[in-house]
Amino acid sequence: MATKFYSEKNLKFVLNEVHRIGELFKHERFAEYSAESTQLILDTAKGIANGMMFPVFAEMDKKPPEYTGTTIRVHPAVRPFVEKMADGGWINAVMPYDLGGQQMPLTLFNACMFIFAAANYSMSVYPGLTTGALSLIYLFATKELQDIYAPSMVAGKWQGTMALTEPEAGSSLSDVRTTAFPTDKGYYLIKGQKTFISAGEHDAAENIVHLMLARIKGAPAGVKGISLFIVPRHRPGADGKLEFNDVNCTGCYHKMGYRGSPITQLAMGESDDCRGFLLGEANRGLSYMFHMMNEARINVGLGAAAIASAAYYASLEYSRERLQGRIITEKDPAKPQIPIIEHADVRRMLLKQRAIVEGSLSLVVYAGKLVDLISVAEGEEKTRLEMVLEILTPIVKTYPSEMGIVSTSQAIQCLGGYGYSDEFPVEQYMRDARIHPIHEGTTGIQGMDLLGRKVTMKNGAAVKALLGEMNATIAAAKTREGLAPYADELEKSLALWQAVMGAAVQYALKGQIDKFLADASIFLELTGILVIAWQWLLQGIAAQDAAKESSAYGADFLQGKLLTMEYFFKYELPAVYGLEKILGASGAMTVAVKPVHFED
Amino acid sequence: MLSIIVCIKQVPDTNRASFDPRTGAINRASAENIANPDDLHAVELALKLRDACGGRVTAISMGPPRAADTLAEAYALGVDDCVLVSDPAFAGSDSLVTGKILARAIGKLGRFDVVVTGFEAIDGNTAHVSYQLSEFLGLPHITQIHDLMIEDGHAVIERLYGHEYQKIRVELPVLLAATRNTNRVRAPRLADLKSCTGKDFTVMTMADVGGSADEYGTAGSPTVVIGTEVFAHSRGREEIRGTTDEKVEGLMQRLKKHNILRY
Repeated sequence: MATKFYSEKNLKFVLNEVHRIGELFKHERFAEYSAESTQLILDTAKGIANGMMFPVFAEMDKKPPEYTGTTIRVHPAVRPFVEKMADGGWINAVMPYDLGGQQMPLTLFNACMFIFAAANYSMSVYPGLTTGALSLIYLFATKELQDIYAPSMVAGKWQGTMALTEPEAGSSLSDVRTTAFPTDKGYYLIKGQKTFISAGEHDAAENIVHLMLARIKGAPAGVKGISLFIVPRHRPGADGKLEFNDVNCTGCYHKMGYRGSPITQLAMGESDDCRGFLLGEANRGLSYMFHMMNEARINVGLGAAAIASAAYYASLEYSRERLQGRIITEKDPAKPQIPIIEHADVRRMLLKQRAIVEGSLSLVVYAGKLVDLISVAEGEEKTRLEMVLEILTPIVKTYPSEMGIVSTSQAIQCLGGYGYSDEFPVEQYMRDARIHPIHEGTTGIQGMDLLGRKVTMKNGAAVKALLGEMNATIAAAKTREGLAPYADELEKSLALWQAVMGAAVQYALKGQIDKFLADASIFLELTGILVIAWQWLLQGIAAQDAAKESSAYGADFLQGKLLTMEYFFKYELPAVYGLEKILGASGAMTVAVKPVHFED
Repeated sequence: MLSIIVCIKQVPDTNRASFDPRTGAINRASAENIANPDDLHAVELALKLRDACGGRVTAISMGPPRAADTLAEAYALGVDDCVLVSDPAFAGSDSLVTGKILARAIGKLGRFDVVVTGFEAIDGNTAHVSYQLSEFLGLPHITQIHDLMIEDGHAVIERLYGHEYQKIRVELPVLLAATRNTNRVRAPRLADLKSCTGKDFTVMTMADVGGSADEYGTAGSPTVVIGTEVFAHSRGREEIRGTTDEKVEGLMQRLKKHNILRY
């Protein structure tokens, strides 16, 4: 049975050789971190993942959360895990020292989250959700509210959530209907429903603290009338004891995957006694929520890459052990069968997975480093880095999510019929992966974000900033023997990308916004492939450099890196030509198709 | 206030190491160095004792300079002081001489109430050192610890082994040997992980420990390794036929034969 879910060696390679995490430690903000402490922290994350998470990965899927009528019973391993995370300081690890955090670089924190998510994605989200809610409380809540809510959330006793979606307002948050009625008592009375709220109610926490979007009675329609509230399930009373805050859990969805974490329906104010506490200014809720949306979307890409990593190692282990057939030129049936990894097509499927997993991981780590660098940069450099992060965020979210499904499917394919059964974990990985193109903004939303907002942002400043980064890598690779052809190929593909972008923008200039955005998802797909090719070129450079020294990585690992880069450029990157052709030929024809045309 | 000494050793991670098929020796370059697993349970036992009774925990490790990494890990877990016992003359010491060196080093640290060790190390699996150390220090040696309390200068220990339970009372000082069954090792806190690598530790050489080079290392060690072999384990498949009762009986017989079921 599969025992490995990520590669320690690859994670170190990506952190140290590709993205050089050590550069961050030179900044005062991260000066207390070092190569040694980084290693100890990664080892500790591995210990928690191996000891508390991976052993219950399958069991949490087979015994999913159970709605009791009032609460949701989750797996008994959840509470000790959250307590361990709280005790270790993981819930507020990336927060500044003056807020009691550890000011940990997000680059390192995300590397640890990758380990946790690969071990057991469902379990990893419980503390992660609290971290997200906590960061909003620290950013926008009054000191009084911070003192009431933050300590118990940091201690892991209270679960944090993000309560955005409603039955009629998912991707379209401007249609949020939950209403906040002002009172003269320092709080609002909340009334409405929320749905698909992760960890919105469960028995592994003493209380649930929802960071909830609602519309103050009389506020303007659309996104400019949405405010952000703290809405606890239980509110602290005058005597300090918790009292019910009229937040009822009305159900728990039965999902195809990601089954260890409850996704809930909530009803607020059924007895007209649900109190909400405004964060920051009224009507600015959505912009506040988007303060953490970049990081939330990076987390989704991270989770998808991590699940695909676990599936890859499960299929790799199987492919090395499973004996089946003989080499294609061997006609003697008396000869022993060979491990299936000896077959070229199986190796192709393994290379595809490795290319997706390690390309995605590199991008996720790079995105974390951008956040860290932005936190210490100033002036034009800060703006430039922000532009790179802005344009990459929909790609960081989407490429691992969409390709994670492809990758886990390839893992199943390696195992054949066994992969399709629940005797092996790969079918669960594919089910767990499927949520990622949906939550925190669907692929369709990400496509429109990329083409409609990020490409046109500040007269193309984000595009220029990204091209600057990619061209620097291309220039470096062109001077290297063995890498120059790949640099040329990426350069050619980038020119194609710019041409496609230019053609799409023509629709926008003519005011044809519907046609401009009709194929935004395909544009996103094309951009994602280019960006991952860039990440592979960076890894190729790092592998060549590491091979020059007496490296702890070993020659086989580094050669494997270069071969996987070659695979990506030969098998994956050429897809951009097909996508370019589709975008050129489609003429955004879907705009003209009417619902009636789907009749029978 | 208790003075607690805990012994911790850096070992190659033999679960991941490769072995030279000819000599049977560990290929040390193939494995990362880690803290010996039983020793982490010893640290946990020491920390729990300190937290319950007050006092200080001093971690001591004998090994080359790189063993300082393991002491940093002990700091991260929460020990108060660390000592590295390191000298080229100690290289190649067998378990008996290791026990002697550790006993002499501990003797130089002043008064102590409890010494805690792991039961065995994963690189040699001799499980000798805790016994030998207790002999050199003249301490009672307690294993199979399930629970522990300190009362009036005595350790009250619950022991569990096989199907037996025992409660004993031992006068301090005492040596306790921990295994993975003794407790669950805490995960260090991020704040401690961040700061532990910069903390100072005491280094003791042969000059501090006393004695001469001919007492230590290969020269002073009576143990001679005659040969090492790697065993290849293979799994077999066996079918038990018959009625359900006959199958159960057949299974029971096989489990007893292999000493998996003993009663």
